[in-house]
Amino acid sequence: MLTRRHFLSGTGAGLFLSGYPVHGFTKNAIKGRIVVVLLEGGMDGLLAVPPIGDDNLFKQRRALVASNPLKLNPLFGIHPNFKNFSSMLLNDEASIIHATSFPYVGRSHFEGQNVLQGGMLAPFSIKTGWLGRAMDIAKTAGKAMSLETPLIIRGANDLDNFYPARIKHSRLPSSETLRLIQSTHLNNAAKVIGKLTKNSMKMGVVSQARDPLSLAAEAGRAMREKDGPRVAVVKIPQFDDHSEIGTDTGHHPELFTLVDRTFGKLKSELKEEWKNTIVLTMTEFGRTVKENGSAGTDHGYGSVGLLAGGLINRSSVVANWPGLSNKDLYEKRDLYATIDYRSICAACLEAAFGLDHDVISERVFLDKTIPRTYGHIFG
Amino acid sequence: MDKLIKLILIVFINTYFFASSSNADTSVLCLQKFLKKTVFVPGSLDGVWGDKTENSINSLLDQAGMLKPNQNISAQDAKEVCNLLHSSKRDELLESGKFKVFRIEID
Amino acid sequence: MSDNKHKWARKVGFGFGPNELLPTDVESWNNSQLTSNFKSVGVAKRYSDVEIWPQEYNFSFEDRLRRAGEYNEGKKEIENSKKLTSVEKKKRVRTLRDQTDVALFDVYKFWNSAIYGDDMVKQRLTHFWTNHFTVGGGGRRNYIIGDFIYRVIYGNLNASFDELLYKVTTHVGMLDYLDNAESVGERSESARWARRNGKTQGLNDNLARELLELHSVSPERMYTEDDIRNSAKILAGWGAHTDSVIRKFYRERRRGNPAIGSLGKFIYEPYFKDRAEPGRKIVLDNKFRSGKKSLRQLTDMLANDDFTARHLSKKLAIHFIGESVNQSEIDFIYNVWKDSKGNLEEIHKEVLNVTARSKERKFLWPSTWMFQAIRFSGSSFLPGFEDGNASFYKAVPSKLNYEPKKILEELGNSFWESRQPDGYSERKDDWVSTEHFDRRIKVASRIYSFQPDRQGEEIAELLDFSDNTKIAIDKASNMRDKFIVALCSPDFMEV
Repeated sequence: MLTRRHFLSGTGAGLFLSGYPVHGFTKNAIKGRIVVVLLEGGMDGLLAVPPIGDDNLFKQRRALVASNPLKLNPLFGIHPNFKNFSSMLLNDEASIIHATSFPYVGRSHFEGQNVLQGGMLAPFSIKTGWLGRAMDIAKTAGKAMSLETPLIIRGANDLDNFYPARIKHSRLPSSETLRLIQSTHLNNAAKVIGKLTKNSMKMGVVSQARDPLSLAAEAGRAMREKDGPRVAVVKIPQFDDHSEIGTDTGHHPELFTLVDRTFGKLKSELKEEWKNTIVLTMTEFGRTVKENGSAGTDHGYGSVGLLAGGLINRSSVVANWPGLSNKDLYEKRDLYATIDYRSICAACLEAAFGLDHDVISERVFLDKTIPRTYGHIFG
Repeated sequence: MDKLIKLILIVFINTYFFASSSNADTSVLCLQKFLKKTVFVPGSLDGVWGDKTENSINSLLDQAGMLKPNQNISAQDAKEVCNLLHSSKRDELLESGKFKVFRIEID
Repeated sequence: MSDNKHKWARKVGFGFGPNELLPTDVESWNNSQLTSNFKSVGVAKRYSDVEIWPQEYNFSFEDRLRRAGEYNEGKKEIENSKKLTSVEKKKRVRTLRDQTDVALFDVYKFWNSAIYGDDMVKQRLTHFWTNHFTVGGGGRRNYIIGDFIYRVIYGNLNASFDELLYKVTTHVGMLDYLDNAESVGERSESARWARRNGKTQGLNDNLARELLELHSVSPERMYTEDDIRNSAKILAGWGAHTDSVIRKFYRERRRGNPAIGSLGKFIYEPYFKDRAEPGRKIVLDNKFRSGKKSLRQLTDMLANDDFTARHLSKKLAIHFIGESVNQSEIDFIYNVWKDSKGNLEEIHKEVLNVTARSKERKFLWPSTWMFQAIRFSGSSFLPGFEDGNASFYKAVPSKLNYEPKKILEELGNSFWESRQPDGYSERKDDWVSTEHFDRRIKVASRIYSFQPDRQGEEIAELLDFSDNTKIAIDKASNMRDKFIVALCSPDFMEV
């Protein structure tokens, strides 16, 4: 069954590591770690965390509610596929943000991902990403690991990346040749080539895996090191389920399992550094409340954000629940977003990097009006 | 002219009514007005202590960590709480009240 | 016009190889590139002369469906066999796949045309439009992407844009890729039947959204969600999954129906009346009545919209001139678009004219860069269509023959990969990363292994590289390294 979800994978899952402490300043290095899990395509928040206490849930999307969600409190449940995440909720090391989104209502993947990564309200208006800008302010260096350097961490210095090449029979160039090539380029290109070493070009020097779980394991292992990266961005594609999204089983629920295991992998590989870590999911928009004609959903507005990590103080669901009756929906079709997700990103930056909220809102998001949610999650 | 007299009468009667009510009601109104600035909605601004007002103020204080375990605010505490809402804790309460936090209650 | 003919041929084509004669007059060369009829060319064996592409490797739409059907049915038979071991089964399935594969030939033709073809400008234009109207690969769709590229895109490069837009929108691949095959009018017969039987069927607005957002007018037009919804209503009833088209086609053939039979016309215009949405629709203040013809009316309306001309003039300009193209350059193309009423031959001519006058530098896609590297250097990198064991067509090809497909994937620039409908980026930033350079260097090294006629220093001379780059090439200690430095310098990565 070939559907749209396959094309959104681009180069498939991706891992990006960034924010290596500058040599010689290790003792001042930032202790916190941030992992952003980018869910590409638009995750269905109502399927992941169904508001079971809201009567309208069943009225509006009868066929798209899992039959046995785990009950979290009178209002919210969680899809049973989130096993690891649910244990984290029990251990006060996870939280859920619901009815949330960046303030973008255009419903376009390309604009949406650009807003999510750039951190600006207008798509395609900036060439750096919010995480990159934060890393600049926090003075961490960067090293990305994927075929393309994602917008979200642009702006940081010293980016380079890793994504195993499979071009057989090619001879490795000498270091001298690499430097000569570098000498012909300017600016960013020169910087980027400068990161190539004969070692890094060898096949098999680091894991050659390209699936999200292996990449997450890679991230966890790297971030555990004292001199390791402070920032990781894991890309999980294929959430754009316009048809046959699934309920108890099916495509979206399979993705929930993948996300859940990613959380689990990160925790198990980070080991003692888990207590200094915050992981957060991001998705460009949620999906329509009612199902469309193909047992799927179309692009929407509000969705959920899943947070996990030792930096969280007490598990909870943070939501200003807008309701699901027709008059409560955005443009009569989507879950309203009543929490600006930028405030969540800001809180995570505050927790991991120790940056001041005002500094973050002004210099990372260029918007002084972003509210502070730090106390609700990490306080 | 008629309308103006009616208006003055209404205002007079209302303030008289409220002024002659017990202090608890003004305090209740004080709570309700504050709650309106948060996501813990008090129902109508009528100065009457009802279920909605009780639930809302308790939820807000609990979420802000200002409630002792098993403590429940009721009508007679209104004045004390009103003072709290105008103390140095005001900003903290306003910030906390911007978002609703639902605890995890898995057994 | 650029006085360096080699540079010019790189800007709009793939460059002139060491055995090619330079044209005396660039302007007439430009014109002939756009208007002549070419035979697709290639090499029979790696070190042989250039020949005409074998007709038996040009697959019609029906051929493709037939081969896909043979693969499906053959695979089922093998897997159901009670006599074979699982190892033997796997081996036979792989052999079957090699014998029925179409994508591999398409990729070969893609490479051969770029490296040996006379029609290099048309090939570049084909790459541009194929990217603009992205149909992502994956599974059975890979059987028909070649049809999309050659019959629909290449075949309409001189037609009017409204013709191209309609043909693209109604191609089985596009309708499948953007889920229109799922889209059913809520008041259609099919949906009513579904409801009576407890199932749900309804509209899917994917294709409608991309038709407006990416393919024609762009968000600048300020269309509303209603416009998208109504476009979806007009599109409802069009399309079927590639898989089911294959099955249906194969079944008809087995029943003895000739290829052009009940299914013949259908595969070119797959419309299901019982899935269509009845009633009138309004899109961008235009009224459309129900029925099959309304889609053509919709695409015509969009094709002729001013914003489409603006949007696509800009895209063409950026693709050939570069990111820093200025508005006046875009306006030249736009004016010709309007004056010619969307005649692509005229428009493409103007694109060449404006590109010739431009002083900007264009950072090339990795695939374009690679084809130019092979063509310009004269390296015999590409195995021929007869390489492998005996005839490629009949026997199992050797492993090497999958390399062209794999390399395009490694470069992140393949048209047979699953990807987003907005296609590959034109922005230099998106292609500049450590890993991308890793790829380029490895590919350059591999190209060198096949004895290029032009070495690094000669390439630098002919293409007028900067002094700085020439110095770096000079410093490289051996011929291979000189070659790699030349190809991986900005002078070759940009043009």
